Parts: sequence; structure tokens; C-alpha cells
Amino acid sequence: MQTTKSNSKPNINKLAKLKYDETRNLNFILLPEKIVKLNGTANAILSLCDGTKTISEIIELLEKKFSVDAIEKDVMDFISDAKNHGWITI
Amino acid sequence: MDGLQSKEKNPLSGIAPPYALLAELTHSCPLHCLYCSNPINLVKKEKELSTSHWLNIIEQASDLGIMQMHFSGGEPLIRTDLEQLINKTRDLNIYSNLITSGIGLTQNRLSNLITSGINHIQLSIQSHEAVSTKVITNSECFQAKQSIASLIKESQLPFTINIVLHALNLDNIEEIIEMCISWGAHRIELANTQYYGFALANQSVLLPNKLQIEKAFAIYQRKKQEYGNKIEIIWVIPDYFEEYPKPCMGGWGLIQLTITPAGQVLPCPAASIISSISFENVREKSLDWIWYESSSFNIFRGDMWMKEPCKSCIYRFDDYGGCRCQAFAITGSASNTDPVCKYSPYRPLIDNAISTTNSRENILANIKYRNLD
Repeated sequence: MQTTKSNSKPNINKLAKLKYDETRNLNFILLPEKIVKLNGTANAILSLCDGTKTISEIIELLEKKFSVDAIEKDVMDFISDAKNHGWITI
Repeated sequence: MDGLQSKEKNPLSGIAPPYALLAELTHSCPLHCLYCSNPINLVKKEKELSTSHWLNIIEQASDLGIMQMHFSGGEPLIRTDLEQLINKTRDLNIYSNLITSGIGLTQNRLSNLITSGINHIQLSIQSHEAVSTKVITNSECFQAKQSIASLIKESQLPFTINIVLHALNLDNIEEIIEMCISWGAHRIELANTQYYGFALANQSVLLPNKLQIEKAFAIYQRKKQEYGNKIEIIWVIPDYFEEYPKPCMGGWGLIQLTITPAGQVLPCPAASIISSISFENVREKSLDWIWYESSSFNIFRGDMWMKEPCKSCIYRFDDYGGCRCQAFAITGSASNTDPVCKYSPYRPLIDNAISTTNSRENILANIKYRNLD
């Protein structure tokens, strides 16, 4: 499998849709026959995957927003998983 | 079977809201497929819910926590208000999926659906070529489906092709998969026939033999590996050939509900056959009340209703005793263990059905098509 590069620009898979559900007070990713509950971190990352930002830029935005650092490996791992699940395309 | 673990969890710690709604807009359909899982007695056009009923249902569904709506039928394109309903799901940020035979989908109609905000189309096919498609659907529709697939492909809409598998097409699974890919599908669902409604009436024609299933499954696995992440290929298990039943609908009244063209609210699309249960109608009761309070939704929640061998089984919260509709259709009681289960005293009925598949001849002579007025 190709390794994900930090200058690539992930986008939500066109089969998928992000949704905040008021009934459950939770975030989800909706796919043709699947609904997946997202934790806060997953939702924060996926919300930034809009096809215009590179992974490096996404990491930078997350670091600023949550006042954290050294998250690069975690974000890269998540993006790679999300790609394998078909949630995003790169 | 994979995926079953010996864990005991109790889903009755409270009833969770539903995730998905299957909206059967009409039972009318240009095709008359041998494997149709709709009931033998279809809802007549004049009994169908109106546009305002459906718009109200979508609002209620959204309040209830529904995040995904599948518009189905029959053929949902026959309803001229389809775009209006899809528009409503978009306004409420509900994921909309159109489950269609494709027949009636013109360029103009497709543009309207896109403008309305459709999220995904699932197109059915029956075979990889015209002659067998005609046998299976009792209609000349293969060429039309090919053109329609090409329209959908050009539109770049998210696109699944679904094929129901059975004795008449399993041997061609490789050609079928290749055709779905060349037609531009992003996902392929290879769904082995579920024997409900009209499909059960045609079981002697449709039920494959074990060798057919094994060969087809091996090809599916090879293709899945070959295409990797490029395309999602899904195999829906032929439950008759398993040792344990499927956790039907993810459990009765746990994840999703179905509304029939006449407004009956069901925990499973096949449930209307269970004549021992009186199902509610959305014309008379709210969706919220039906989901949380009605006896038809509560009757098979939890494990209090179970008898042996389910009652003491470690898998009872994994498969929920299997499919209630199949238990009713084959054993005569909806609270029996699904007869597919190897511990069910009725399992020999399933084994007998399978054993007849090795010796039958001239199966096409047994085909039954729907008699429509």
C-alpha cells in the first residue's frame, strides 16, 4: 500500500457524509450502508479533510486549536486508517 | 462463523433511538423478479401514503434520531414526489439513498434527483446479460439498465450496484463483478437471496447447491483481493449454508425500521408476514410512540421472549435468536429459534431444502412470476 504523504490533501469520500446528531449529541460519519460513531478527535480531524488542506496544514490547525504538539504520528495513523475504512480519499 | 464471540451483553439497558429508515414508497414495479422479498399480497396504489404523509414521516424520523433514509419499493421512481421527499431529507441533514431498478431514470430525472440532494444510488441488476435477466425479471430490461448505469456513472454520484444471487446467476459471478466495475460502480453488493415473500415461493428454483456457493465465494474473495481498496465488494451471506443464524436487522427494534407503502411500521421489511403480531400504522400513531412503546416493537427486544435453545445460549445477544420472520415462515412461530441455527429442532427443514438442490432437473419449469392485475 502507498504510504500517506504529509503534503497530500485528504478529502471526505464522496460516498460519505459527516453529521452531528442532536438526538444523541454525537458526531457520525454516514456511509451507504453504514453509520460510524466518531469520537471528538476523529471528528476534529475528519472535519478538516475537505480536499484543500494538506495533512501538514491539518496537523498545524489541530495543534493550534487544541494547544497540543507532537500529534503528527497520531494524525498520520488515523488518516491512514480512515483511508482504509473508505471514509476519506487521498 | 467469524464474528461471534461468547460475550453476554444486555441491550435492554434502555431502548436506543433508531438509526435508519427504509421507506417503501410503492409496491408498483416494472420488474417482476423471482426473488422479490416483498409480500405475496402487495399494497394497491390507492392505499399508498400521500406526499404530505411522507413529508411528515421524514420530520418525525429526524426528531427520532434517524440519520439515514433508504427510499425503496417496488420502484420508488414511480412516485413523482420522490424529489420532494429527498429534498426534505437534505434539509434535515439525513443521508438519502435511492434503491432502484433504474427503470424510469432519465437524464432529466437524474438531474432533478441531484438538485434535490440525493446522496447515493443503489442500482439493481439481475445478471451479466440480457437473456437470463429476462428470465429473472420477466421483462426486457437489460439494455435499459446498461444505459441507466452509464447516466449514473457520468453524473459521478456515489453509486452501488446490487445483485441478488441465486442458483440462476451464481455461476457467473466473475462476469457479474467485472461488469459492475465496467459500469462504474463504486461499491458492489453481492447479496445472496433471502427467502421471504415471493422468494420463498420460488425457493425450489432459486436455492443454489453448496458447491455453487463455495465456488462463487472463492471468486468473490479473489476479486476482493485483486481490487483491494479501489472498490468495495460486499458479500451478503447465504444464511441457509451457515451453522448460526444472522442477527437479522441487527436485532428486532434495535437499529432500523421499515414503513410500507400503506403506512405500516415494521421492525424488518419482511415482518408483515408475521400474522400473529398486529403492527401499527403511521396514520394512527406517532413514529416515536411506535418505536418506544408499541408492543409490536417491544415483543422481541431483550431475551425475555426467548425459548430454548436460545434462552440459555451464549450467543443470544449476538444473533438475537436470528430472524423472527424466517422462524415464523418456516416453523410457524415467530418466537422459535431461527431454523438456520444448528441447535434448532427445525434445522432438518433447511437441510432438506438444500439436499433437493443436488437432484433437481428442469428448474425453469417451476418458475412462478407475480400475477399482477
